[in-house]
Amino acid sequence: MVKTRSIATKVALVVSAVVIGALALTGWFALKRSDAELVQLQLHQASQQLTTNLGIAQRIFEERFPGSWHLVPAAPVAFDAGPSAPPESLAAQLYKGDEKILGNAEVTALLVELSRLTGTRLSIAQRVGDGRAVRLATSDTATRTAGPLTLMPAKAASVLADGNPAVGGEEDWALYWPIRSAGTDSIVGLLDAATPYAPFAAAAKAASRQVAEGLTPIVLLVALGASLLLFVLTRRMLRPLRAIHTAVARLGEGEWPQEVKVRSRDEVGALAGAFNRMAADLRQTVATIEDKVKLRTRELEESNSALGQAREAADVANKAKSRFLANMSHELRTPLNAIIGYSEILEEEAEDRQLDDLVPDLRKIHGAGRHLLQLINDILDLSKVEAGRMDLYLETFAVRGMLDDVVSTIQPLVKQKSNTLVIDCPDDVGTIHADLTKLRQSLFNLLSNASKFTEQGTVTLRVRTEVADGRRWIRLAVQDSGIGMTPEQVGRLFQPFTQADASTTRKYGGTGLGLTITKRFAELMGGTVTVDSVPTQGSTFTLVLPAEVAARPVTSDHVALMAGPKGMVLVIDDDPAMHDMVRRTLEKEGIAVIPALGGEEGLELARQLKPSVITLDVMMPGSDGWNVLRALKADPDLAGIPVVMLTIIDDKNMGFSLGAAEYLTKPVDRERLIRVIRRFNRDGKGGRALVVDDDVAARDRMRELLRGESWEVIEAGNGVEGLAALGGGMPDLILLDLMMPEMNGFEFLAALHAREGGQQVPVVVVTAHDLTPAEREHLSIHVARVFDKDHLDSEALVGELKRLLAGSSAGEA
Amino acid sequence: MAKILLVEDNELNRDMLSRRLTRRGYTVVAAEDGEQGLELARSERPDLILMDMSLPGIDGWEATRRLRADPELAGARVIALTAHAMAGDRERAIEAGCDDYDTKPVEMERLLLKITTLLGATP
Repeated sequence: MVKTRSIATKVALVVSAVVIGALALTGWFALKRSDAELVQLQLHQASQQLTTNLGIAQRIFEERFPGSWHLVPAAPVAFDAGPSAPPESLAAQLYKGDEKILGNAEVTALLVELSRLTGTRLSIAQRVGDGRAVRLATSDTATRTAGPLTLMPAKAASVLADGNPAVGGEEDWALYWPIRSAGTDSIVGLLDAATPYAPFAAAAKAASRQVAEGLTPIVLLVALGASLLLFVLTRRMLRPLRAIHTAVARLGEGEWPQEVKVRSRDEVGALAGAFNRMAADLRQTVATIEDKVKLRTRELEESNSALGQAREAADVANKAKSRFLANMSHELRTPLNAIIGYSEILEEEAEDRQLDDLVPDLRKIHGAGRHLLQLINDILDLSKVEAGRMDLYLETFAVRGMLDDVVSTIQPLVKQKSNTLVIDCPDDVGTIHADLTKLRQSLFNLLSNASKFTEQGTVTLRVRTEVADGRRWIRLAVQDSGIGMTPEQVGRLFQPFTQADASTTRKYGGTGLGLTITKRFAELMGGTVTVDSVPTQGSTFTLVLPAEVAARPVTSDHVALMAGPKGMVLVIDDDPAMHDMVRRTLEKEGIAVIPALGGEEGLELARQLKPSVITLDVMMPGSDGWNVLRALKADPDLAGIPVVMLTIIDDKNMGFSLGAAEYLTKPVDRERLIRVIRRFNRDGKGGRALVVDDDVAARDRMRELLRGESWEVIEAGNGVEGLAALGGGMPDLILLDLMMPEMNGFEFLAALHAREGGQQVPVVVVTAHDLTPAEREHLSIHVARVFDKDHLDSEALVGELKRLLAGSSAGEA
Repeated sequence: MAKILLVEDNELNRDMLSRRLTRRGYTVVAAEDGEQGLELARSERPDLILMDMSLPGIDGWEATRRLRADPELAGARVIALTAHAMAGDRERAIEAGCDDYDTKPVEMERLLLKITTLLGATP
């Protein structure tokens, strides 16, 4: 995360920079000014001093050299003024009284003396024309040594021109004073006093610097103070902004922030107010949306549950419909059989008694009855297919044999309309693994259709094998030279109760269900039926089936249809009759029966459907019942499902099929034992448990554990004691050790099962060693009950299944 | 004259089949359920038994098993009759000891063929 830089810090930094800059600038200007003023002041004083000194010099001159100043024309004199100086000449000589000033040693000495006394350089100059003057005498020894005469600067010249005294000079600060002739008052020369200029500026600068040095800490202090003050002030001003920022951030994270409390009436206050309003609006909106979502969710849930109920109702209705149709068909068939049968009897009797005129009518009754019977059978088939209850009975058979069978059945129908039936089938067509009855019926339907709509023509049955998608397929094509169909008529085919058109039904009869059933049967077996037709030319119906029809996978739709309101029994048995028997009895009670023809299919279905009870045949081809049982019990999801074994039991072995509910090896895994016990503790209230074990310590542990699960515990040290304990009434659960003195676990079990009610008590075998497969089989471990298939008491079996179902649903509740 | 025992719980079917068989010259005795069927089998000693398989009480399968278990009745031929042409029914019927099997509704000609085949002669 980037460290944010506080606005307060920025403001403080900028402000201190500005303050320091401004103060430095004004300080600099102030110092400059004070420098100039100081110089001015000093110069003013210097000027007064110079005036005084000049006055003194003048008075001394008056006393020593009385008389007035005057000029006397003079012979030109060449000045030795150095190579740079232009040659000059004096036009006249300056006199004070009689005394010639030029080169007068006394005058010069006097000037030097005066200069020493006053600290001022003094000199006397003579006017030499064009405004310039020549210094005649000076106190400045340096000038004297350079030459006796020095040209005066322009300032002096202006004094000579206008006659007024002047002040100025760059290197020296000088006062120029005109010397006037007494008689004519004309200016004849200059008296000047000078003092060096540089010391003034230096002194002023030094003074200013001192002041500046004294001021700097104050300036810095002021700048620091101002910055600090501003920093604090800005922070204060920014605090509401920060509060708003925090609130916005919390809002951004999906929390509802408290109202931002900013009382100021400035822009920040307005911002806070706007934010508060926005947050409140947002909250209101979100609350409204949430309410709406809740409302919609509730509505959705309601409609879902209504849908679920509707679906359940529809499922129930659908099942009821199927059951109704099945029952109806059965109920209709019985009187219909009577009608058919009696019409046949009457027909025979009419013929016997030569009542021939009655025969055609009786035949019509008979024919109509047969037709009606066919309709009912078809409707039943169709309703079974549509309810997903049509089972496939797969077997391997020779295609050729099946064809011959069908052909012999269809021959009379073919001949009825003077048709010829041609069979085109290769000899090596081989076998097919499919549902024989359904294939026969399908083929019969196609052939009878072809015969029905063809007159004095040919019906060809062409059989071919082919390989596609890596599988072998059998293609059965039925071609006729009959009336054919338009594409519209073809489009209406395969729909229940629809023939090419209604008049067809009247003319040709039939239920209109044959093709629909044929198509559904083909689809059940993983095949297809297609049609190719040209009006008046004839039609070809082609049935294509895989040579190896796969057992029908159970889809979730089927499952939904199968799950009965009162539970589900999975019947694993290679004998379909067994499925039928269980189904007939249990479906009436609202219990769904799922058939499985083999062990593997059974396991697969058990995993998919989690049935409430499983019945298992011991003798099955492939994986036998005991293997299936082992696989069931090895799967934690399935281990809890009660299994009823159906087996052909030799009388001498009968006593050994003992039906233990569960077995555990010692040392007993506590968690596992608790799980097992809980499975038998259906109402959570426990019950009476009998612990039969010669090991006192093991008994103690099991007692504690059972008591912890609210069971009442009875203990026995061996089988004999255990049997004695049964005298107090059958317990709800028995934990049984196998190896015990006097009477072992096997003997105890046999004795227990001989007693009334003894078979219903769940027994958990607790043994010190892992059981051998033989012992497990012997004990029928995990098996809720074993029935003898040879002398199967169906009522007892169904009773047991119902009992287990009730138990399992109670256990689930 | 061959004697046929018809074990059939449905009255109409029983009447019909017995009349039609009688017309064909057979002597017909009829029983309503498995128990009565076994009784009549012992007392009447029929040459052939037409056994409906779904019967109240002792069903056709069980009745046939018991017939077969009785050495005195071993000579009687049994044709099973079942309402539904279920796959496996034939095998089950044979397993239970039936000699042949036919479906209901009865097609007279087919059934007569089976009867004459089993009895080796027309009545």
